[in-house]
Amino acid sequence: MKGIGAKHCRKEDLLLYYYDELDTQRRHELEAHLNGCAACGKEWQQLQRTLDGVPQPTIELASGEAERFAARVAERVQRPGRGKLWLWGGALTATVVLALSLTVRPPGMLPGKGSNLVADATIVQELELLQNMELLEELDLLQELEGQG
Amino acid sequence: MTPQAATVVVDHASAQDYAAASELGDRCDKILLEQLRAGHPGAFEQLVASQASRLINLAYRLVGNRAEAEEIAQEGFLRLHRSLDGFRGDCSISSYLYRIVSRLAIDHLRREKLRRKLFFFRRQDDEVDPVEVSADPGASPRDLLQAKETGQRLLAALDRLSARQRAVFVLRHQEGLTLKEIAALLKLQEGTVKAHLHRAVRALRVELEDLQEDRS
Repeated sequence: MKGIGAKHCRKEDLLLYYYDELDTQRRHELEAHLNGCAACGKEWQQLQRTLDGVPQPTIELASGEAERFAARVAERVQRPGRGKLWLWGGALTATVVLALSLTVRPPGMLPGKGSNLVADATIVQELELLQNMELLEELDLLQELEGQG
Repeated sequence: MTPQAATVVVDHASAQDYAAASELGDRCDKILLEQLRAGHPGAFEQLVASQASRLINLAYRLVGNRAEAEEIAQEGFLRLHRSLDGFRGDCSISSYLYRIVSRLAIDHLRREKLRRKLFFFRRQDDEVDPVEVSADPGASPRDLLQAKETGQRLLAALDRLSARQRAVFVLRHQEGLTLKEIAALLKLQEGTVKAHLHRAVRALRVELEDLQEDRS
């Protein structure tokens, strides 16, 4: 915050000041500047008003709701695990169906210049990307958490 | 006794209280962990019931939808259960759960964004909004309406942020974590967390600007 006495405050610093994340020296410098600078004082008040007005979404669990939730979780723990087989199964089924739809075409329907084929292939790739991303995220998180626990 | 001396005594006492509470918490965690590993009937259910509200609320603030939040919290508990054998106890069970649920929620947000991009899916505007769920029963209809509008606008604004920006804002502003804690939780540099927070607040200020003008 070099030269804060002369220049206007950086918005980043005002934000860190709001969240009490500035070190002591910077905080004192900023406070001194705010006392003497109307423009920064106004900016600070606006920031404060916006952030103070942001609602705090809260779910109040009704009586017995936490226990019912716990019972549902405990029930799922008891269920025999399907592991990740359903995910692999889903990915495999989707790939087979899409491959079939691309290869088995009515007679006389040629790929032409390839524009339809290219569009189909893009959709297949995006769907596979989504599926693979989910699988990788699941596996990564599991491995990471096992390592950290 | 001078006010200053009194403050020192109070601070000292609260520090002792905190240390004692922390030690007690550690011991409770160890006992609970042993019970869980031994398959003690009801231990897991008891743990879930005690942590449910905190974790559902965390997920709810991150994803903005109650059903999805409950699903994420549930998945967090299931993962804890699956990794009990390998759980070394380096951190408390509650911190561990907090971390799992935060990351699951961020992954969920990313997947949702990709899904919406692929299938042009948009969240329905008539979904239950966060403020309505926690509305003050004593508030006037005008206040309720204003709170509802603010809540919907906030959700819409949060939806436009990237998953990381949203997570950083929620964890700092609504969960009260420090930037350092957020950096550790999300495995980011503190500078990156600051940048995400700054961008998130800048975007929210633009989105909520006219609401602020109405109030002032």
